[in-house]
Amino acid sequence: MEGPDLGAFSFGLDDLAEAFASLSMFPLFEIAHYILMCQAVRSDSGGLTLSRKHPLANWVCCMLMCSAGGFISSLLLGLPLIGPLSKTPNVLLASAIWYVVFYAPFDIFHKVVTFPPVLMIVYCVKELHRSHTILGGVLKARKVYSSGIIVQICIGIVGGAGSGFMLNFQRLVRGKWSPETNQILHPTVVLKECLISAILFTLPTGVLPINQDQLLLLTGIAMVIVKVTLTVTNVGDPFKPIENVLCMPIFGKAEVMAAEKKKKE
Amino acid sequence: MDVVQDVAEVFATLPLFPVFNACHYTLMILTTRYDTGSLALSRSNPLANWVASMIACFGGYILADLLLGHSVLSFLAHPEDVVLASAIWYLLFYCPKDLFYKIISVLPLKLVITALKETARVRKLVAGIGAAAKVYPHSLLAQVIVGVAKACGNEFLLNFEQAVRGVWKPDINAILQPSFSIKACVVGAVMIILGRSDVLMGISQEMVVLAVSLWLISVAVSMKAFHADDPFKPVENLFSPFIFGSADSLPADAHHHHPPAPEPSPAPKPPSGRRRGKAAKAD
Repeated sequence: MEGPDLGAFSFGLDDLAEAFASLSMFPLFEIAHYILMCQAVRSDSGGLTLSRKHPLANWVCCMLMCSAGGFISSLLLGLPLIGPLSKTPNVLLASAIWYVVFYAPFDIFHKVVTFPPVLMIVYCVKELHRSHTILGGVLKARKVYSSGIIVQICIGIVGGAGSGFMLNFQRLVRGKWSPETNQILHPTVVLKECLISAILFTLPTGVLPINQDQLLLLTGIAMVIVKVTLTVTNVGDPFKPIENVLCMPIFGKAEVMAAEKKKKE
Repeated sequence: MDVVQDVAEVFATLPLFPVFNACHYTLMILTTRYDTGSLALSRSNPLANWVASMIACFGGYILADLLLGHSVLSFLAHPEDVVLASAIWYLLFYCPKDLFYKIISVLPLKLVITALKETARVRKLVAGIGAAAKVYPHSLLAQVIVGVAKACGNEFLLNFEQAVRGVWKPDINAILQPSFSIKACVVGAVMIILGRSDVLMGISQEMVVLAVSLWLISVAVSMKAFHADDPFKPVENLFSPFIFGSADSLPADAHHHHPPAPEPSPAPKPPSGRRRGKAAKAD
């Protein structure tokens, strides 16, 4: 007899978890991911002018963003940097999405994708994709460093939130260097979610009462819920209240702020 | 045909050291010298000048190693190349009465050096494609990128070479404005990969390399001799508005404060007469 909180997994959801874990990300989940990455390049300042004047740079930026996790994890693990671009079907699919996002006749693709119901579906699919990439990153690091927990967590984060780190370099390709903001200086909700998920994935097998497939399903569903809530409502970062409470005693935030206030007066 | 094949085989196996490499290093360090602030830096910070020159000379090797996951400093494992590059660097910056610079600036000699450098470039292109093919035998894109990186790597690393010299100009880079050699190397790489596979029947790989080298040499030398423009540009200007839309017809969300613009001028599906008329006006 399993405990009450595991009752749900004893019928049906086990199969669902297994099916979700063995689901291939290509092509549907990858399409959602590429659409959002190309939209991010497009909505970055000067994105559309770039697409008309410098299509090659535009393509390189989109490829960097689409495979951001792959590039950064390859760099960090000492694997060939060209690895993500060697997967021809993925590159071809990403290039097709790139072309359609930027150069579709009458801009029809952009209009369809930014229609709120469609956009919501794309967001949900992308969050499910994200949980897969976090696990993929953890497993990739495990092959190189089988007992390096921190490495596995870092590569898991990079797999899930790589595009945030790649944003600065994508801007550099475009000729703009904006180091004032980056994901380490201003962590986004996505980064914090990926951190928690990566830690959960790297825990040794006995610690959690669920197996890896079920954890994958759970993190996917949790991320979808967070994304939908943040998009629909105007709630800010859900981690902020916890951070504000914890940071004051641990990092002495209140004392520094009070000292600076005194200096100003 | 056999004679051509023999010539091609000899051409493909000519040793790059020292003559071809010397020409490559000369032109690369010359580019560094022409860049703003280099001469002043050579007097005030010779070490920074040397490091920047080495990055310019060996940029192709550095970038290709980075892309393939090898050690980035592996070019230092060939000390004869580094010594030759350093000797040319010294002569170009610190020769008494700037004699070396004056000698190689004579146009006929410069054209010969350009021709030899382009030969070295194509050999590096082949080497890059071969190295990538060992790791990714089925990926055309990976082989082309590594080949182009090895052949023209110094142009991609220009921003970082300038950063060593204390100059930071991020608005211009080789991806925003690819030079003729980058575009030619992409075309050459595709041809060489086709030559390696058995698609081009009867034409061996060495003959393809010879053909690409002769094409690159002739265009590069004529560009330098007659100050000609990039020969790819007219083709680009013709096809780019079709495929990528023109810069004066951005979609509605390009400028957020404008009201929804009328539909963009039909970029990918134009009536052909109208498009030709527009291109004629641009000329």
